[in-house]
Amino acid sequence: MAAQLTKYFKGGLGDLRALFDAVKNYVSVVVGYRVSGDAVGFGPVESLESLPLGLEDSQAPGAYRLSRGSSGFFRHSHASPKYWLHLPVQEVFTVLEDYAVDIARYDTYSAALFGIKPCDLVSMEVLDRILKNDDSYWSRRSKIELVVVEECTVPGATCFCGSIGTGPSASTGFDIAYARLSNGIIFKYGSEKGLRILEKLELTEVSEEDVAEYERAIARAGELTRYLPPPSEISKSLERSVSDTSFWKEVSSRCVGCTNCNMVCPTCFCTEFVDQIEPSGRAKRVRQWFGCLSHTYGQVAGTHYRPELYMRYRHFVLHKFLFYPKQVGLVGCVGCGRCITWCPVGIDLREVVSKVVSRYGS
Amino acid sequence: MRRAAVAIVKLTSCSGCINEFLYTIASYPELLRSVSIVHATEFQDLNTLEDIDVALVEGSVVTQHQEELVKEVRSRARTLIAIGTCATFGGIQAGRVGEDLRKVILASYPNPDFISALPDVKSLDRVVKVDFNLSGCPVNGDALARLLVKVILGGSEVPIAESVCSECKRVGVLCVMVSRGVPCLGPVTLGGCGAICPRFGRGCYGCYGLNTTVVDGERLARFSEVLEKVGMGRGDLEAFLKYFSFSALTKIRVRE
Repeated sequence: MAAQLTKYFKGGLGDLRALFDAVKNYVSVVVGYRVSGDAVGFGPVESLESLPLGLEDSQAPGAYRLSRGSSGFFRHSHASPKYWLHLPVQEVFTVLEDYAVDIARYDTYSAALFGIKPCDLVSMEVLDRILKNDDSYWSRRSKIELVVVEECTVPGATCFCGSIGTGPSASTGFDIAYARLSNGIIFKYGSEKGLRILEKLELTEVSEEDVAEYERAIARAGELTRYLPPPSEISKSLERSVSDTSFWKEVSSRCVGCTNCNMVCPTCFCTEFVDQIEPSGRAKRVRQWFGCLSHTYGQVAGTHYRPELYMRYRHFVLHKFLFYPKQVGLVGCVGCGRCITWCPVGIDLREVVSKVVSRYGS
Repeated sequence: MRRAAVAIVKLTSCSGCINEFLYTIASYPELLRSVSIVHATEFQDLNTLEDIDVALVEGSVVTQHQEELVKEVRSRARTLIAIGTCATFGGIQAGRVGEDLRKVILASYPNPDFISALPDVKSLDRVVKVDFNLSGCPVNGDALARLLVKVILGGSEVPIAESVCSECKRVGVLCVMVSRGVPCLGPVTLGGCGAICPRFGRGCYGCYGLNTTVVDGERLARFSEVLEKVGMGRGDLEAFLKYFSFSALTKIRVRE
């Protein structure tokens, strides 16, 4: 239910801390981009200090660097909410020595997401639709009672949310969103629940100038991330490109099928079941993330659906822009750019899609 | 229930995989309820190759005698599992292929006349039919135990060919190459190790062997350019590939 987004509040870092504490009191566990050591993952966040607020990431095709600095702006790392909602490795059941089956139990505690980016917010909407019958996913998804989004005023060099319409601001599906600007933090609410929480904080009313500055910052970020034609144009062009084998061979010629793009994609949901028989006689069925770029993915008894790598790369791109819309009514790509940054050979999805459109666009 | 007769056969190798198997037995002593070890010259005195259910073969073939031995083992074993990168790809000793064999022998042995090595170093699949290839330097003991139990129960296994990167991402390890510029062979290397090296901040050096389901000569050449940019020269890459992916290199060619 989208609320009217007309009311903004203004505050500072202290208010963000107060918001964090208020959210923490609301649920059993707060989850977000978590700093651990010299990396940022995704998981339970104890305090504001565990969030990457003082970190700056720089991203380029095949390159990622984290640095420290109070003026820094963090976009994201390889880790998206997928790590929390759709576990990388999930035990499904155990068959005991006497052949009794012990079905895996799921968590029951309530959770809040804090500080996730608009692109990742939309990725959850995509996953919701894809995994709507998946108990493991919903065991965690249904217990997320609050979503606090950090809007992106300084997008990264591989971000392209502006092209897809998934960022840089949040429009629906959240309770509270905030944007860090040079002279303070602008808070907005996306639900009644969010409004109630914000009203309890000691925030100030925004001036017209504040709203104008916020809107300018978001508009600027939107411009910076607008690389591609609209998704509908991309879908149509892709549909026409399917039989152009030599084109797909060319754009995937550097790919080594390592599946990093699949793993870091916040909407890639595919898994493989692995049966692990232990010497004790117990057997575990485990479900784990599995990428469509790997050879085994398309392998079935008697044949292989996509034996050549270009077919698998083509499938990855087609699925995001052509098949997801047909399957669930949403574009599967949220424009986060992770597949570009974390590709070890730096294949740029934006370039590939642009080529498709320039060759097959209307 | 009759215990399955398991033979452990060692060719040219360092015994690391056999050690890994011993650790596995120590971790899961219940394995010995379903397994009877009928041949293991490294750790028992009474050995027979009469009637084998499962042969675990470590090492690569570098002598005429070994070639005959592994053929004999094959003829007596219902299932033959190649364990470790020597057996599946050739191993470190493949580094000598192409060198003057006599010089290599002289550099290593005081009495070279006792040595009768062949010029080539062969992975098992170049000599006999192999039912399962379980690479790794050393092999992953847990994976070996699971495969063994599955085979003894009459099951089979579809090997999952995926990169080390898949494992890194599933455990949430930050990519050492993308985030720190550490040269890493993970993208082109078979997973199965659980991403041990990247977990400790080191780059993968390819000890599980090239993922040849994906990587051909052209892709490898392009990937080598990426490695060069982060400081791994062509010479180092070629050495790693020769040590850990030798038999794969006969199928693909690294660009000159």
